[in-house]
Amino acid sequence: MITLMKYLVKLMGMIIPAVIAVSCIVPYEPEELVNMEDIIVVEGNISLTGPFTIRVSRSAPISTFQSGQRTVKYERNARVYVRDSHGDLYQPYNRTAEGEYLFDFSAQGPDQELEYQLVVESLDGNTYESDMRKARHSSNMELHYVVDTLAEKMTIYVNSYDVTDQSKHYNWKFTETWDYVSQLAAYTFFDVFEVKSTENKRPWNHRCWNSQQSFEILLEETSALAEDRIRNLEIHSINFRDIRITQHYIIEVTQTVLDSDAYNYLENMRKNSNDIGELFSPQPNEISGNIRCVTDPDTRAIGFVSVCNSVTKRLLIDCKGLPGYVREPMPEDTLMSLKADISSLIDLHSMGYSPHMIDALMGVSHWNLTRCIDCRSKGGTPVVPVFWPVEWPWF
Amino acid sequence: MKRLRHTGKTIIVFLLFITCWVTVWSQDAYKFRYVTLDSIVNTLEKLTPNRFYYAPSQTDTLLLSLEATQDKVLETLNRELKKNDFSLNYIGKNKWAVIKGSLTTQIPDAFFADSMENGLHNEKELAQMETVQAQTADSENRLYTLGDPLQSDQGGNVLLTGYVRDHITGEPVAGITILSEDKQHYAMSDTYGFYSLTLPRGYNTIMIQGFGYEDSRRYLRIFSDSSLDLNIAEEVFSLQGIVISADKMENVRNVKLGLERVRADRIRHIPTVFGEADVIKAVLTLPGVKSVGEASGGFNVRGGATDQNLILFNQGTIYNSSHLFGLFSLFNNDVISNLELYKSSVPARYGGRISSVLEVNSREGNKNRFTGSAGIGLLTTKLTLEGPIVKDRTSVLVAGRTTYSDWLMGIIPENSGYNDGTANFYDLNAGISHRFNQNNHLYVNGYFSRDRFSFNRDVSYRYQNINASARYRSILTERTDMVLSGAYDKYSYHTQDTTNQAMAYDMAFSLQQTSLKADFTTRLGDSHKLNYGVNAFYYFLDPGTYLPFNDNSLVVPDRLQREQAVETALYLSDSWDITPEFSVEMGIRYDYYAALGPKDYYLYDPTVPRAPETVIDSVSVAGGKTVAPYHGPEFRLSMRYAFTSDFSIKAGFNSMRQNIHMLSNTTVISPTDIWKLSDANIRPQKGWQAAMGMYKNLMNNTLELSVEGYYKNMDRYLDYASSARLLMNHHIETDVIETRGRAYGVEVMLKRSLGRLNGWLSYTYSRTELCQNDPRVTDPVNNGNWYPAPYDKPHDLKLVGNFKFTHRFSLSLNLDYSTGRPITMPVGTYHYAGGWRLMYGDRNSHRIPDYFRLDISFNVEPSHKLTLLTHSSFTFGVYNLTGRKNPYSVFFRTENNTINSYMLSIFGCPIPYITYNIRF
Repeated sequence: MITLMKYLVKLMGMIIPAVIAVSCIVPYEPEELVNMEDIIVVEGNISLTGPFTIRVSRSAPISTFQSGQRTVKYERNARVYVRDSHGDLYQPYNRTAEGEYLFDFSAQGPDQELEYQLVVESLDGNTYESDMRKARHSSNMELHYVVDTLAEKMTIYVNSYDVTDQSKHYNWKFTETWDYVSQLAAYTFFDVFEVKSTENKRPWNHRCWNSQQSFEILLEETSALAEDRIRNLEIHSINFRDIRITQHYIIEVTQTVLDSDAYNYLENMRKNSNDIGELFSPQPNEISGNIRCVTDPDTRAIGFVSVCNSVTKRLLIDCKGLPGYVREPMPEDTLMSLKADISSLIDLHSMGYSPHMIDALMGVSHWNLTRCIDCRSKGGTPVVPVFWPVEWPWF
Repeated sequence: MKRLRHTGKTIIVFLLFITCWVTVWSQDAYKFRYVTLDSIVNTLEKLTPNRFYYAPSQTDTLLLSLEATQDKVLETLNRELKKNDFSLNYIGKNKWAVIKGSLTTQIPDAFFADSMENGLHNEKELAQMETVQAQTADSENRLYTLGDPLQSDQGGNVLLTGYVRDHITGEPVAGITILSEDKQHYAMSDTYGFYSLTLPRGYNTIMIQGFGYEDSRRYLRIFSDSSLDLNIAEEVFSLQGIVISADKMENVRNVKLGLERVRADRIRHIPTVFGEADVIKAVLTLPGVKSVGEASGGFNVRGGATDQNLILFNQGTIYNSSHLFGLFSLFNNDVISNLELYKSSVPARYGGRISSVLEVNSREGNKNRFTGSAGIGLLTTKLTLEGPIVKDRTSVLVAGRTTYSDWLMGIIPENSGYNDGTANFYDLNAGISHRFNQNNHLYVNGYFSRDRFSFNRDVSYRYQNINASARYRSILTERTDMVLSGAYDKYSYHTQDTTNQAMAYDMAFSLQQTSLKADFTTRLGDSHKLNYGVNAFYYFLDPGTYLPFNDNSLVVPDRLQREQAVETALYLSDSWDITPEFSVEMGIRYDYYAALGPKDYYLYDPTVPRAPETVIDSVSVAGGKTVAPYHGPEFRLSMRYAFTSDFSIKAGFNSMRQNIHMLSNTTVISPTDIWKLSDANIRPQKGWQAAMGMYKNLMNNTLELSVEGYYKNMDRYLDYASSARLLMNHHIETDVIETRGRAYGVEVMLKRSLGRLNGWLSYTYSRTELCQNDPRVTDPVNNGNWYPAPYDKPHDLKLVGNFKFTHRFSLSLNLDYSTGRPITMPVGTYHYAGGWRLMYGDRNSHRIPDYFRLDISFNVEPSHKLTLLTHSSFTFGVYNLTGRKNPYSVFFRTENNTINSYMLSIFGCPIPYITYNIRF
């Protein structure tokens, strides 16, 4: 009996590790996908109190996903304007190459009590309209952050409170901006023909700035709460050693208060894209937004245009004291004679090396991996953003 | 009892002292060449008035050849028998005994067994006959005399009733076939082990057969309606390979269509993941039963939804039949006696669901001595204790099962984000059965289970099932018996989310059901069996309570209006054998349902889609008053025509109503699904099914072939609207859509239920489609066209096999192939709110790849040595032997700036397992 149990324990010891790894998620390309392309996508909310952007694009086929990075098919030359319930029109003041139509008619003093709608006349001759809505106002918002050294992450929280108890449905977007430095500060750089010194104290492409926008749909509702209050809601979190929180970090959060149908639309969009494929996942569903094609009722349109006045706040975080990003081991410097042939320098540069130091005494330049020297290789640019605080380094 | 069995070994034949009566017969010649004694006897009994008695266990290896004329045949037979050391002895009244060796000179005990006619009966036997106490028949070698001898001259048929019991544990055995030798009369023991068999008055031989039990026969002489309990022995497989005379008549003879019975020992031999024998997994191996995927709670029968199955556990209703995401079922196989699944002809005594009835019954516990068993598997341990409290009267059975499955969460894919989770469950079973006397039994059962799991630290789910039931079974007269049962069921769950302190909540749901049933069975004459009774249900539903988790939470306590309802049903059905070939079972059930106040409900503008905005009025109903009564008849009809004893066709129709609905937006049953009672705004579901089938037994009744086709219609099945919010919704009726469903299919099954190689092979072709053509729906799914249901898997091939090498070693195999289930696929993508989003096409217009799985297990059964203190059994197995990565789902996910498609396999590699069970 006892020996049996011993065997059993031994067997379990072998089996259990084998079982761990049974369930798996593997890439899989389904066949025969149907594609519905070129459905108009209208994104953006009308604001009566400040600038706002409406972006018009087209849907893309799903099946080309393997080709890596996708590009958005923008609808650049549509006629986009806002109409109020009196029939007055408001035109965009500008448009961008990314299908963005920039509006700001807050100066015209739009009547807050009127209803507004967005009209898009696309190039293919169809006209799309959102339904007429009244403006919603966002309640105020506070941001703060907490550094959790135990979980090794930094978390940004939002707080909001609406005394009038009317906000209920919240949506947030954010843009984060950060700087970082390359592994090796280089006081020389390789110009087209030669190794040049930076001449001044500022190292070459050592500090870069980068930014990105939130890509998750962040929503919360307070209908079930006693007060219309958002308290310490986690909006974003970044793990230690992420390059974003190695030097300085700014997050700009925009809070929008939505009507419940707009909220449901976004919630459904979020579920359709995120909560899919798991054990208890709900089945995906399409629901229609508030954009309709008035010229052809059978033409679909995607998007929900609300009329709402958002609130934007910025949170500045100095990441001093947080661990830096993981440095990669660098090879020994490659030494090149200052008198070296230009072609050999070009060769070395094209192999991914850059100079970082000139040893005039020895008559050599020290070269190492470009990706450890040039901060641009990590995606940023050495251009300081306009809103960068003066007390933070600009180079 | 022991003495009788012992005597049975020494006595070979029964003696009857009657005046002689010599037979003179015609001049036909007999010619037999190497045939068994059975076939000679069959021929002789057909052509001559002679009757032969012998012990088949002694003569089944005997092969005889003889050639004789009519008048010399017995003489020749005697000579041939002598060559084989047997003898033929005349025992009077055209009766002959074949005995090994020569006739015993010593007068055996059985001498007096049938001594009525010469007046030598003893006092004890007379006393036995006068009381209603049934005799117990364990011996194959005795003639049992039953009933009132004064009625012996009357002709016609008599009714034999009684219980079939296991001779070691004394427990009743369900699903045992009892049939007359000529196969004209047939019965099967029910859940309580009870059988009733019509037999011609006079001498009879009955055969007793069932999976896992030794085939045996009893010799009877019946004078009038009487009872006889049968004790049967477990089958011990001999290495000599005795061919078992497997007369499986059930399929051909039963009037019902689509009835599947599986006994617990069969379930134990079906390989499952992690080796835990499982009732629901066994159900899934049956034709016509499907699920959306591995590890999914719930099952779909013939195109019905998961909530359209009535799952009864000792007559209590189970609302969530799964543990641990559906990896295990609620039922602990160690306490299960048998299961019956009614896929088509649902008996009139059941109602309330429109698709199927799964009846699971637990064992009563050993009646003779205290025993127990314990089992240990990869994920669970269990312990069962059972035994008599009062010997032969009261027995008790308790069982518990728990899991150490927290580590299971580790095997869930890392990128699913569930690795931080925990999952565990336990369940307890208890049962007492008490026998007041031969005619009155009481059964009390209780069940409790609790599940708890979380996918991360902040969100946890808990659910529990409580069932308590009491059944009182009484045989009122020889021809009428009654079962009174009462049950209380409760299913409840809690969800806690503490992700954000201010919004931390505890959401609770609970459903309680109390039921009272009185079921009667009366046999009228030889050919009618009436079932009638009354059922009453009281439902109490707490659809949702939403409370702040602690003081930091700002959540306002919210409670959805409690729902109450009563349901009563009267039913009557008649099983009528019009001729031996043609039988009809007709039933009607009248169901009355009403929601009860206090209740406030809304009236909606009937011309526009329902929405909170289209409320035109509200109605308040006082406590105790009824709201929206719904009532209507349900019809059950099935008939059978048997062309021969091994070939029949059947046809059936049945209609059902369902007053309680499950609302779910996930593909599987999950512990966040809510149940909803029909009320003023939600109508009951209705369904009907028509089925036809052909049943043929092949190869000397060892193989059963059946082909069944069905068409099923479902009305007012509740699907949810696209943006539905099912939890804590005060206007839930605005978020559900009445959906129509239709399903049709053909099931072909080949089954060998007895023998060393047993199991079944089934193929099903079926389709299930749904349609939302309610004009009040703004955005019907797929524009109101028919679309495949999530469990629509047209082709389905299943093989369940078990091969016994010896009585201790057996190999089990399980094969499952099916078409992939339909899913909704994206048809495009667009950039919105900073990322790529998916746009979905028609619901369920794609299919995931086909499903194929092969499981194998090797079972080592305990030794049958009675001297051993403990008996242990092992099962080694591999689930998904081929390691095929069967998809559970195929989905797209947007990651940074790309969209990638993935396939999730729950068990994507072979999973070896071992379980160890010990009986003591």
